[in-house]
Amino acid sequence: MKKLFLTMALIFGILNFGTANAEQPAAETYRQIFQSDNFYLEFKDKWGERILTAENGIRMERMSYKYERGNMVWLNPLGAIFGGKENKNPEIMYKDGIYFQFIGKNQANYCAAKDINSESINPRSGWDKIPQKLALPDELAVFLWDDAPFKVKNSKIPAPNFQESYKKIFKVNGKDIECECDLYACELNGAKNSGVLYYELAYAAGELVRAKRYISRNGNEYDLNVLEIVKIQSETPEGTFSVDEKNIQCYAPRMGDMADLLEQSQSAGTMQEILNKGE
Amino acid sequence: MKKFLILALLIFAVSFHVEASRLDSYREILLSNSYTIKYTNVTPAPRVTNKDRVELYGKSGLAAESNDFLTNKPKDGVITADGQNKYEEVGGEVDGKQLYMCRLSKNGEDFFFTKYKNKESERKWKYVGTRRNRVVANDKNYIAEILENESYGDADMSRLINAILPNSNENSQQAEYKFVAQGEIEDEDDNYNFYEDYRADLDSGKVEIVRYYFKDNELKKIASASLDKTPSGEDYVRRYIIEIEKFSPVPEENLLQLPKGVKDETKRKKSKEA
Repeated sequence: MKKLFLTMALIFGILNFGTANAEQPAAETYRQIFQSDNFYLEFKDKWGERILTAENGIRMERMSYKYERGNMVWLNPLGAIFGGKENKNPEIMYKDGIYFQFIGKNQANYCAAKDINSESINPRSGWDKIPQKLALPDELAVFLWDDAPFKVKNSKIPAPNFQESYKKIFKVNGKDIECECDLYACELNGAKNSGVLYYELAYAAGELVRAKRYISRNGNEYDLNVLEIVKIQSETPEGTFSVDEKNIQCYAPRMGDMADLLEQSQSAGTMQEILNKGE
Repeated sequence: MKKFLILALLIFAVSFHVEASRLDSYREILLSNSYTIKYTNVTPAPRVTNKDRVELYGKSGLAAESNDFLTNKPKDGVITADGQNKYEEVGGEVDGKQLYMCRLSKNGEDFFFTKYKNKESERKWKYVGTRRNRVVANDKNYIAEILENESYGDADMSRLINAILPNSNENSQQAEYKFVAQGEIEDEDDNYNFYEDYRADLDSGKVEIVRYYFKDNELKKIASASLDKTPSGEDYVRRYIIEIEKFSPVPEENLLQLPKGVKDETKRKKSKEA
C-alpha cells in the first residue's frame, strides 16, 4: 500500500513537474505566425486600442477605427453606415524600404529607412520613433525577439527565458476566467542595481488573452504595461486598411535645407510615384 | 532599507581604498541618500539628433540635452533627496527668461513640470505641468534606473556622480571608475588646491578620466575627458566641466514637495489589479 502510494505520488509529481515546465502549445503557433512576418494583431492597452498588420513585407499600424468612433457614433449615424467606404489609411506604413506617416486623409510624410537615423533630419519630426511603433509590442517579445529592422535592440536587455506555468484568474471581456499563464524572465544588471524583467502571458481556451510585462526589484513588483489581446491571426481581414496610393500627396523629410528653414513643405509627388522611384 | 544601507556602507568601508580619500565623505553622503547638490554644467551637450536614438527604455537622467531651449547653453542644476523622495531641476537662462525642467520623485511616482520666470526681477516662479499649476504622476522608468543607475540632474552629471559610487552589483558587466592618482594643484584664483583622478575603461575602447578638484576637503569642481571612436574609426573626444556650488548632507525639505499652488490631479485607481 505504501509503495503504491509512493509510486502514485511520484507519477503525479512527475506529471505535475512536466506540466509546470512546458509552454502552452499555442505559444509555438504564435511564434510561427509572428516569425512568418504575416500577421494581424489587435490589442488594447492603457494608451488605447491599436491594430498592427504585416503582410508581404508591408507593415501598417493605427489606432482602431472602432475605438476612435467610440460613443460619438450616435452623432452621425450615416457616417457609421457609409464610413466603411472611405479610405482607411493607417497612421504609419512601411513599404519597400520607405516609412510613411499619414498627416491627413490624402497627405503623408515619407522618409527612406536609410535616412531615418540621419543627423540632418529635424529631430522634432519624430522619425526616430516611427520604426518602434511598427515593431511587435515588447510584451510579445517572447514570440519574436529580433523584430529587425523595426525594433531598436538594446544590448543590455537579454532575451527572456521560459520559467514556469501556473493558473491565475483574470478579467477577460468583463468575466473572471481562470487562465493558464506562462512566465518568462530575463535578468537586468546595472552597475549599482539589478532586477528581473518578467513577461506573463495568459491563455484562455488555448488563445492568448493577456500579456503583461513587469519588473521585480528589491522584492517589489512594478507593472510596466498590460496588453489585452483582442485578436491575433496570420491573415489580415480584408478592408482593415485600404491605401489609395495614387491620390496621396507625399512630403519629403525635413533635412535642414532652405525649404525646411523657411518651413515650406513641398509635395514630392504621389505615394505611387515615390514607391516607383524607390529609396 | 536602513539595514541594507548600513551593510552597504560596511562593505564599502572594508573593500574600498586603504588610504583615506577626500571623496570618501561625499561617497558616504550619496550612499546615505540624503543630500543637496547645486551645480553648473559648464560644457553642455550638443544638440541631440536622430543619430543618438533613444533606446526603448529611455534615459534615467533628465533629458535636458534634447530640450532645444537649453541646447548649447551652460545649465544649472539642483538635486536634493531625503532618503525617500528626490527632487531634480536642470535649466538656466533662455533669452532673458529663467527656465527649469523639474522632476519630483515622491512615493514611487514621478512628477514632471517646468518652472519659469519671464524676468529676473519677478518674485514668483510660474509652474506648468500638464497645464498651468497642474501636474500628473507618472510611473518611474524602472528599467532605466536599473541599467543606467540613479539619476542626478542631467545625463553628464548623473554619469560623473555615479562614477564616485562603487559598482555594488556583483553581476554587473559595467566598468568601475578606479582611483588613479591624487596630489596638490595650484589655481590662480585659489578655487581649489587638491585633486583626485579616477579612470574607467568602458566597453568598446572608450576611456573616461575624471578629475575631482577640492579646496581643502571641499569638492569644488569635476572635470572629465572621454575618448571614444566613431564608427569610421576616428577619435572622438569630449570634455566636461561641472562646477559644484553646494554639496551638503542636508536635504532642502521645501523642494521635496509640490510647490505651493501646484495641484496633483492624478486619477488613481482605488484598488490595484493583481
